[in-house]
Amino acid sequence: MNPPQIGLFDLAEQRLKWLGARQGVLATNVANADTPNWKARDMQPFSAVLARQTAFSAGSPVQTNSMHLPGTASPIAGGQTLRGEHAPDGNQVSLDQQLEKIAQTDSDHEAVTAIYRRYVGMFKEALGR
Amino acid sequence: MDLDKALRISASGMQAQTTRLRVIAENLANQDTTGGKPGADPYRRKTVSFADQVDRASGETLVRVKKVGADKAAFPQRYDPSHPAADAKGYVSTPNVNSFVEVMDMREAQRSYSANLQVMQVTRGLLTRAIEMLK
Amino acid sequence: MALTAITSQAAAALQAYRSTQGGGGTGGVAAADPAGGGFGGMLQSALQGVVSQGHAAEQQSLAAISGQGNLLDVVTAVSKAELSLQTTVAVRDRVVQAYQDIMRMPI
Repeated sequence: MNPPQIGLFDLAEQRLKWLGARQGVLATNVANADTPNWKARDMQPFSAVLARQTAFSAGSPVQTNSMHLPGTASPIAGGQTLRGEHAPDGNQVSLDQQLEKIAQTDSDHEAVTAIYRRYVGMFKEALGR
Repeated sequence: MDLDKALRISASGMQAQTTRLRVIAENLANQDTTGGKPGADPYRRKTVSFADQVDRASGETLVRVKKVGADKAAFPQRYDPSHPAADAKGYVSTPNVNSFVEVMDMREAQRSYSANLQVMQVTRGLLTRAIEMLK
Repeated sequence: MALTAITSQAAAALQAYRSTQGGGGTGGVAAADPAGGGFGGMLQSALQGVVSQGHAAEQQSLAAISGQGNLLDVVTAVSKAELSLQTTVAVRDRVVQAYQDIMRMPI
């Protein structure tokens, strides 16, 4: 698949925000591992977020008057419910699954920040500092 | 969602599990506590139920202990006429605490607690790494 | 991107240096020329790969940031690009320095 043609730093920032939001959703799942009728949630995949955003920015609303509120959409909002195992009290959180997802989020975060720092370093070097 | 909020959510999870562990400890400590007088009720087992409630101050959904209730199961009876709390037939009511169940519950609570702790550590790692990007 | 601008700057500076060298035309310069040509050629070839490596690294990084792509490919591509960039920057700095030295020489 073609990598998205957004600026590298912008893409990195968006991905970091998405990863932070995902960590929040997964933390909520783990905290509610014993709450009755709690269903495990997760974020929409990042590719879906990107696709929606490029589609959105192609037809963004234009602010014709400075008094108007700017049109906004938060493609990173909320989580969606997944299917999973059931406990007798209706709880659907599998701790192992959640911890695995958290580990994955952690390593993705590390990769993105490493790439970001490398590129910032290269720019600084090109500027002669 | 901010990473700070994630930290608070994990903290609330840990607190809820701590309360649960405290109740389990109470149950285990009192598993032989009978009444004092004949016919008096012994210690009744306590139960914990969780709920996710919206924290008024911050507006997030945190997990809290909704209620510390009582287990309505019947008290098992033990035949011991010489006991001070023995009733007319010589039976003593003993607490409805099953130590096996309590220990299993304790293990489950411990696992949930350490899972929440692990999540909190990972979240803190994410924050630290983001700050290090500034260097 | 800024990296390609810097690369083209370096290439232009190198060309300027070589033209001043060719225009000097004394015996000493002629004697040094074959050795200079070899060194200049080495630099030229080092510089040529920079832009394409930079593009490749950027594509790999974009893929990695959006969650696809092999991490090993990204690491090698970015390392190569960074090394090439460091070479380019070093060359640019030396060439500019040499140019300034030459311009300062009293005729």
